Amino acid sequence: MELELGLALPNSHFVDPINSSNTTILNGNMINIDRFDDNFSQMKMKDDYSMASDGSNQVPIKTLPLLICNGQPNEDEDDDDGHQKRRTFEACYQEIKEENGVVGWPPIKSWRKKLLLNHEGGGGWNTNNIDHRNNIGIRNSMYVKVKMEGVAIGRKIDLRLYNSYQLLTNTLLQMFPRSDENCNENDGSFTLLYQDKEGDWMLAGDVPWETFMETVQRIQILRNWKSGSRSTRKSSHIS
Amino acid sequence: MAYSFPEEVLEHVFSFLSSDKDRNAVSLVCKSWYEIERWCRRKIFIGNCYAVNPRIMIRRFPEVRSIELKGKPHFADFNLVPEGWGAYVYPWILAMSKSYPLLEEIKLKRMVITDESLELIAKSFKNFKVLVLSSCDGFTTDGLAAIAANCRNLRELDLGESEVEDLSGHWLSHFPDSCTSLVSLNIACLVSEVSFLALERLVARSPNLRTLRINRAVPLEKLPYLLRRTSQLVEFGTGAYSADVRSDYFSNLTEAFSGCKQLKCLSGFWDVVPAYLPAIYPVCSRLTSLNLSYATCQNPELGKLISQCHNLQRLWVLDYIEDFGLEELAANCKDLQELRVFPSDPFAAEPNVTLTEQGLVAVSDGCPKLQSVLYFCRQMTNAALFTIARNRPNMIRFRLCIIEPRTPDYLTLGPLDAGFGAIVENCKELRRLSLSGLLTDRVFEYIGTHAKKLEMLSIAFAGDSDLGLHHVLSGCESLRKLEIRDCPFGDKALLSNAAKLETMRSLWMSSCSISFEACKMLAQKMPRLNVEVIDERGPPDTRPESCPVEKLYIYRSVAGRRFDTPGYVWVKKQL
Repeated sequence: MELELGLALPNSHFVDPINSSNTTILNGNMINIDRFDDNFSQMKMKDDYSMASDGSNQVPIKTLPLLICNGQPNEDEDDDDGHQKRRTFEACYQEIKEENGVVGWPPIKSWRKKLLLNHEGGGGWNTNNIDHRNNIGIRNSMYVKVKMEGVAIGRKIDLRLYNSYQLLTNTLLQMFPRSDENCNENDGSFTLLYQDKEGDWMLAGDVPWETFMETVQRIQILRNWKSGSRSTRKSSHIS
Repeated sequence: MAYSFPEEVLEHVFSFLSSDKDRNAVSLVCKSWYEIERWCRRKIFIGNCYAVNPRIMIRRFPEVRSIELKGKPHFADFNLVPEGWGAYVYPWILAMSKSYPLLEEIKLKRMVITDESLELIAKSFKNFKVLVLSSCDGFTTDGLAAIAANCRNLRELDLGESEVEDLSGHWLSHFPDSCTSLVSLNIACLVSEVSFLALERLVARSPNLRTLRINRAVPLEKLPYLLRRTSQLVEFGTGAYSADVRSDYFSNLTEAFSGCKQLKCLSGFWDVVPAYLPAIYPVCSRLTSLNLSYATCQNPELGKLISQCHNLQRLWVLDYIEDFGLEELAANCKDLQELRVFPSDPFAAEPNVTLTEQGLVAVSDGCPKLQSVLYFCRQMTNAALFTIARNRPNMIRFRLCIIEPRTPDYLTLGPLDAGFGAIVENCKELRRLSLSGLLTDRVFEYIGTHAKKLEMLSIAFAGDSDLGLHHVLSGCESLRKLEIRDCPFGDKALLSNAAKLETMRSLWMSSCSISFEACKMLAQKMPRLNVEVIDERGPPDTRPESCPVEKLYIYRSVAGRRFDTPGYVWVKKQL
C-alpha cells in the first residue's frame, strides 16, 4: 500500500533500478561539491511559505565534505523535467511489510501495542462475552464500532455501559448529528442494524438485549427516507 | 593563573555544578581542573553504551556513585532493531563491581540486563539505593528477588516499561522486614499477580514512600487497603480499575483517595469501568499529572474527569478524548505543559473517533504553557500548523504522527512543508521534532535553516532526494540524534556530511538508499565512527549495489568497534 503512495509523491521520478545503470561507484578522492551546490541554487522556491521569503532560504553549506561520489556524472542530477531522480529503494523492502502495514509504523511502543491488542481481544472489534454482571477482577471491555449512514467518521462504544436498547439508541443518537444538509430527504427517524457473529446484518430489537450483547460485532445506523424518495425500509423506527 | 584555590575549595565549588555540560566545560579549563574534576565526579551519564567502555570510564572517573546508561537505538521501541542486537549491561556491572564499591544508583534504558547482572548488583554494592530499568529486558522476577533480598537501603525500584519474565509473584516477599527505606516502587509493567500480602506489608513499613505504581493484576477492590497505608503518596498508579459497580466499593475507594492529601500524579486505570472514575474527583484539583493512556474510557466520563483537574501540567490520554474533550481541556487547564494523545485503534483503516487537527489547535490556543506535544491523528493542515506555531513559540518538543504515511494537507492536498516550516521558524527553542505526512525536500530546507537548537529529529516517509538529508546535516547545528526510516536519502548526502556525524551521538537510517559501498567508505574515512549495517538477509556484499542496506546505525565512539555484534550486524573493520 505504501509503495503506491510513494509513487504518488510529487517531484519524484522513479527510475527502474535494473535499466538505469546508476550504480554508485565511490572512491576516496576529495573533490569539490559544486555539482551538489548546483542543486541548491536550482531549487525552485515556488512555495507560498511566506516566512522564507526574506532571503533566508539559502542554506549555507558549512560542513566540508570528506567524501563525495565520483561516479556517473548524471547521477542525482536534475533531469530534463527538473525533477530529481531517485532509486526505487522501496523495492527491496517489500518483504518486511506486515500484513496491515509497515513494521514499526505508526510508531507505537511494542509494550503499548501489546496492551492495545489485548484490549481489542486479539484484533477483532469485540468482545469477550464475559458475563458483565458476575465477573469480578480483570475484565475486558466490549467495544464495537458504530457507523451512521452519511457520517464519515464512525465511533466506538463500550456496550458494557448500556443495559437496554432504549439507553443505547438514545446515546447513539446524541453521538451523531441528527440531520445532515445533504440528506434532507430524511424523515427524522433511524434504523438500528447490527452485525452478528455469522456476519449477517440484523435488525436491533428483535432479540432480547442479552442475546444481542452476546452476538453483536458492529452497529450501523440507517436513516429512514421519506416515502417516495427511496424505498422505505421496513424497520423498527427509533427516534 | 598565578594564584590558585586549594583543591578542596575547587572541589567544593564544582560540587554545585549539576549539569554534565558544565562539568565537561570545567574539565577543559586546564590540567589541574581536569584532575580535580575527574576525582570528584559522582554522576555519569552515557547516552550510548558503545560510545565508550567501562575501562575508559573507570580510568577517568574513579569515584562514581551514580550511573545512567542507554543502550539500543530509539527505534528499538518500534521493533526495528532485531532481537539480540546487543546493549548488554553485564560488562559494565562486572567492571563497576570491582572499581565502584560505593556505587548507589544504576539507571538503564533499552539495555539487556540478565538475572546474573542483577545478582551481581545485589551483592557488590553495599550501599545500593536506586535501580531504574526503562524499556529493558533479559531478566526475570528471580533477579528482582535478589535485589529485594540484598539491597537493604533500596530507595527506588522502577521497572519502567521493561519486559520482565514473570516467574513468580513472590519476589516481593524477599524484601526483608528491616527494609523501610523505599521511596519509589514502580512495578506497573509486570504481568502476573504479585503477592498482595507482601505488597501491603512492604508499603506499610515504608514511611517515605512517595511513588507507588502497581500492575494490572491488582484488582480495584484492593486499592483502598493500599491507599490507607500510603496516605503520603505523591504519585500513584492503579492496577485494573474495574469491578462490579457496588456502592460499598465505590465509597471505600473514594474515601481512600480523599485521604491522600499529597497526591499529584495518577496513572494506571487499566480496564477502566467509568462508574468508578468519580472516586478520584476529590483529588482532581490537586493533580498535576494524569496518565489515562491505558484507560479506554470515552466522553462524557473522560471529559468530565479532566475538566475537574484545573492544575494539570501533564496529560496523557487516548484519542477517545476527541476534539471536543481537548477544547474542554483548553478551557479548563491553563497550566498544561505536556500533552500526549495516543491512538486507540491505530491499525484501523478509518478513524474511530473525531480527533483532528482542531483539537490540537484548541489546546495550543488555550494553554499558554504548552511546550511538549505528542499527537497521533489522521488529518492535518498547514493552516493548523501555522496557528499552532504562532500560538506556542515556546514549544520545545513537537512530535506529530499522522497515522497514514504521506498524508497531504487535506484542504489543499499539497505537502505539509510550510506548516512544519512554520513550527521550526517560530519555535526557536525546539529541541525535539518528529515529522509525518506528505513532505518534500523543502521541509528539510526550512529545518536546516531555522532549527538551530534541534537536538533530536525523527523522519519517516519524507523527502525526495539527497538534498533533504543534506539540509538537515549541514544546517542543524545542535543535532545529536537523527533517526530516519523509509526516505530516499542516499550516499551523497551521507558522505558529504561525514564530519558532521562525529558531532552527533547517533544516526539511524532504515529503508533508505544507502549502499554498502558508502558504509564501507564512511567507516574507512572516519575511524571514530562505528558504522554498523544491520541486514538480516545475509552479507550485504553479496547483493547488487543498487539494492541498499536494510538498516544503518552510525555512532561515534572512543572505544573502537564493539565485539558483541550478532551475525546480522556487519561492521567494516578499519584498515
